[in-house]
Amino acid sequence: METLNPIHSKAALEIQDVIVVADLHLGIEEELKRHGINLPHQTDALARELVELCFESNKKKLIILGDVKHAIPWQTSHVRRFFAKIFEMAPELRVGIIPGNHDGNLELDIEERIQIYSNRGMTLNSVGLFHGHMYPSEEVTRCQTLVTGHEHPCLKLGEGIFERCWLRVPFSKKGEKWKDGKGEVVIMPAFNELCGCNSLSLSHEHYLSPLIKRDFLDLEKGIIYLLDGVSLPLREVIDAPRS
Amino acid sequence: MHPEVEKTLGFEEFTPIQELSIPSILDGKNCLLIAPTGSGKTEAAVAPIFSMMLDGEESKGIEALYITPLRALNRDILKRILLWGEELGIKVGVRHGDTPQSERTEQSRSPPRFLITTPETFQILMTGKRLREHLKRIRCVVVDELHEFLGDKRGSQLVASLERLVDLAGLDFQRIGLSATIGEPEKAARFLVGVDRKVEIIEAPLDKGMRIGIEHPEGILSDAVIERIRELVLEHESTLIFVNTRETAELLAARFKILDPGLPVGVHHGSLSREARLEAETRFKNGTLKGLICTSSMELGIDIGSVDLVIQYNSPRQVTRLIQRVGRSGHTLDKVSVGTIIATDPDDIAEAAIIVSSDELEEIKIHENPLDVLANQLYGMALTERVVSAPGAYAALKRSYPFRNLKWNTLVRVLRQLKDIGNVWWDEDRKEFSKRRGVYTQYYGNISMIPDEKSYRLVDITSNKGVGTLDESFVLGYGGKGAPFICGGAPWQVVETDEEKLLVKAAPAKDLTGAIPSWVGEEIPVSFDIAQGIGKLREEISKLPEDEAMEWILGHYPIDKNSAQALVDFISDQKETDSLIRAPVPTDRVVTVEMKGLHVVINALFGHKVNETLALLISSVISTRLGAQVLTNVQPYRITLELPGRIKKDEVERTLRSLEPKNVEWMLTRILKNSSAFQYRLVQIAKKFGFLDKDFSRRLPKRVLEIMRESVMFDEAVREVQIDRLDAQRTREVLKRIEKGEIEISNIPFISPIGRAGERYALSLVTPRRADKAILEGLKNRLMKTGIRECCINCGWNSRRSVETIELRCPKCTSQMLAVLSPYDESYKLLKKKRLTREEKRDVRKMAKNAGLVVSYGKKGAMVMAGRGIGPDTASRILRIGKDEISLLRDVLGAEINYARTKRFWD
Repeated sequence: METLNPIHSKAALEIQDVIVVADLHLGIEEELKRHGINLPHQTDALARELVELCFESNKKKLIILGDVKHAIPWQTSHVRRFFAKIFEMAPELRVGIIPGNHDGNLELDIEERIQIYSNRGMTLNSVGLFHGHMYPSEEVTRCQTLVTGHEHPCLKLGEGIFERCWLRVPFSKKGEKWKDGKGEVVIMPAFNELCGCNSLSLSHEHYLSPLIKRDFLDLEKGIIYLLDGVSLPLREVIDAPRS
Repeated sequence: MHPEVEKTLGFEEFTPIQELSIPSILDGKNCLLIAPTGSGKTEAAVAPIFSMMLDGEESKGIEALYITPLRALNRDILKRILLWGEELGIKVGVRHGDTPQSERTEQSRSPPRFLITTPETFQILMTGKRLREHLKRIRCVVVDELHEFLGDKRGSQLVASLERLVDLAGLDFQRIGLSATIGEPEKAARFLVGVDRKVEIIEAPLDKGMRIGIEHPEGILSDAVIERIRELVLEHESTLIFVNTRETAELLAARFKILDPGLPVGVHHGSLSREARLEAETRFKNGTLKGLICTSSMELGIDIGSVDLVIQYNSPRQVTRLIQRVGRSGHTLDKVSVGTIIATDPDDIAEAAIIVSSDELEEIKIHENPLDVLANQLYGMALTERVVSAPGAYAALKRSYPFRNLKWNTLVRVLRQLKDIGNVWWDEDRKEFSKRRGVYTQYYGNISMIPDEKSYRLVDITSNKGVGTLDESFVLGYGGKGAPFICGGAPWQVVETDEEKLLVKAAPAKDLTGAIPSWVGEEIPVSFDIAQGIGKLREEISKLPEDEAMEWILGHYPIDKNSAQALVDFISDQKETDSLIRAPVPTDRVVTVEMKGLHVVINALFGHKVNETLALLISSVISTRLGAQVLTNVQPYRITLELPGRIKKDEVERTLRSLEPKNVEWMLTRILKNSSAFQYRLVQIAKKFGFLDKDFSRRLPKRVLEIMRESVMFDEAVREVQIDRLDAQRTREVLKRIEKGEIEISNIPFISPIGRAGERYALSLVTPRRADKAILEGLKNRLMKTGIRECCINCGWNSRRSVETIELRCPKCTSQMLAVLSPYDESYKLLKKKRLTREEKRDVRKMAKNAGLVVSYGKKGAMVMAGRGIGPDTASRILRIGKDEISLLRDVLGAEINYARTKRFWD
């Protein structure tokens, strides 16, 4: 199995020589504005954070696991500005995008350093990567470990207090039948902290991804990891009484 | 003065304040008039203005502004100004938020010469195109109830915008301030006129004497108290009963209804509807009500006729407040003001005694350089001009008292923030700014500098009339259908709650024991000096034998025997503690740190703000060390802490001593950054800046909060809380006195009687950086359910189970030496092996150490060792006798985080 290495205290994953992040939701500031938060643009800061991440871990390739932009269906100026900034700082960096449900009409044709993969995912040796909003391709399905975004998982720590987290869940019996083998899914926290949070649940209906909705994952055996590495069984943090 | 004015206003004899001030006002001088309510201040200001208008030429513009707080608008005196104007042929107008559109249009078409308005409406007048033209004729501005504005951001906003008016008119106008009795009149006068202008302070001599007595009918809100108030009400013609909070007003009113339903006593406070308040005022004035329970809502010069007694229930907390309140009685000038303070416990009695005998009025804390007001004024400027020169704006603001020390850099930082928000363009090279679209909604939506409190309107379903307003927290926390509660002194029952329209419909009920609503309101702080005064009083009492102490108190304070006895008993109890160690009497120079179990009381006579500051510093040091929240309660005379875990018995004292005076401010800023209670303040300020929309009420994403914490908005929130709640400077002084040994600290291993006196107060939370209760609970469950292999070091028995179900004695040989291993750890097999390699020997020793921890700590030991990457060595560091579970789990968590960072994130 390929080693998936979460970078401590970041919502980013190291797989071989690649950094993977999910859910950038560039331009989400526009939506926050509609909700009454008049936040200055964060696009440059996000680009900087990502480039630093790649430099620090000495990686030359960045894969964005879907939902590069926030607005549907159009594209805001944020996306172009973001990539201009990225390549200004790191001209050597190669970028791959696996489109998510927010990424229709992603117009990046001019930039050859960006490779756009199928929205049904791609593989890095034995790891399958796809955004999570639809079923992965057969090639991805065959992988032992699948990595997705889309869910923005967060642990609720109190009224209004959330922390982003990773969620690792093995396939259920039903899921094993569907994929024809054992395996697990790693659901990534959203990279952009401005994204909304989905609190955790043991009920598969609560989630957005078809793989979970169809009960292909055994949530009872799920484990969450906070960004600093604190690991807790999913079932323990769902029913924990809050005060 | 113009004879017609004298005739119309009906001057027969001038009151002292009128006599003193009218000539100066006629001279066109800036004046601050200080006199108690009802001494004819308003006439003293208005008459000369009318006179000057009759003498001068009509200028087709607003020549005089009379600015008064909104809640004082319905006073008779203002109605009289309108009548006088009519008789004199001077057009007088009133304009406030509820002025009908037709009247507004009329006013901008043909302006009144004399306009009565509120500070908020004044902000709007300053942006109206035609009104601005009319305001160019301004000659005089009267600020009524100036004392209300001094310590308030509304005041800073008002005087800053007066400078904008100066620029608009192109000349200086006369300023007249009207104020009740206050400390530091010089500062108030500067505040009114700004820097570099002359001003005359005219204070009416306090020749009307005050007679104030302190009584202590036995018991807190017992029948004795109610009975005594009832007696006093019946003995007098009309009595005002002041209380310190709206809750107390409701509580007293309900108790009266139970004890004597026929007693004609009403209730009046700021959360009752306007109709309800007007009705109470009228009925009190015409004598239908003999008594009126009220809060500071009655301090403003509302006409309620003559009052022959003021009762203050509980200490008034401030000298200024006492004088303003008791000053409401004996209204005509030759009568003496009579007041009775009903004090309910020894702290209350001592506080009242010191306040009554003090002639030093509290200092005035003015909000200097409030950045949200600055933002608001910059928006105002941007609205009215196409392009605003920043140096011009800077110069205008610096003429006003609150902004006299404004730094150019600060202005630039605020402008950058406003630019980031997107409401103005800011050209840093040309030093100019101008409006963008958002500025309109921002400015008009945030005229008021008062924080928005979400409150529900309470409507009587039988009459459809408004009764009052209830705070959201009370409605959502308590107000389910059918819930009984008290409002306006009457019992109600919730019929329906409409969360959309913020409406509670209720029906009159019978149950007088229903809940008393709680309303958010800042506590009136007791000053450092008053608290120290109480310390000195305690010391005096403690030095004397009981009978002499009684005599001394009665000779020095206007206090009844009951009160004096309660004070003496309070000190005697402390001296006679039946323990080997005597607790000293805490005084102005003695602090006691008392601890019993997890309960700590620090008796410290430093007043609210210093104690609040100390509590924040101490609890933050301790909560960081224990990694869990500390509950605190602050009173002017003591700080109470509830600890999450055990600490050494001198640790609080050591913490207190370790606080360095020079670090106080830096520490406060750092602590406030992580405080969740502080977040509320930050949100309010972000709204005034326009960073958050006015009606924003969602959860703030964490990242947004972090951005806010790095902005000028955070600086403003820190500045504000330091004026309102904290006192860094005084705290530094106190810490220095502790360093020098001028203040003694005494450590006591129990809670003394004086320490216990604060027990009935609620505690508030100081949260640690991460609210991790849920994590810890989840962690505990995970650890307890971890699968392990238990094996006996003695006989080699082994078995698979979970931490929860381990044996504490070997089922085979009854040895206690049982190690808990990971199910994948095969080293238990070594126990049966004869010859061991060096490495294997090491593994066996490790197992023995593991078993040793299970012997010493039982399941707790096994639980810790079930943590990720925690071996017996780390575990023995984490496990310590007497450590409570929360701290233990937190340390396990810490070790796991460390493991994830340095070794492996996940398996």
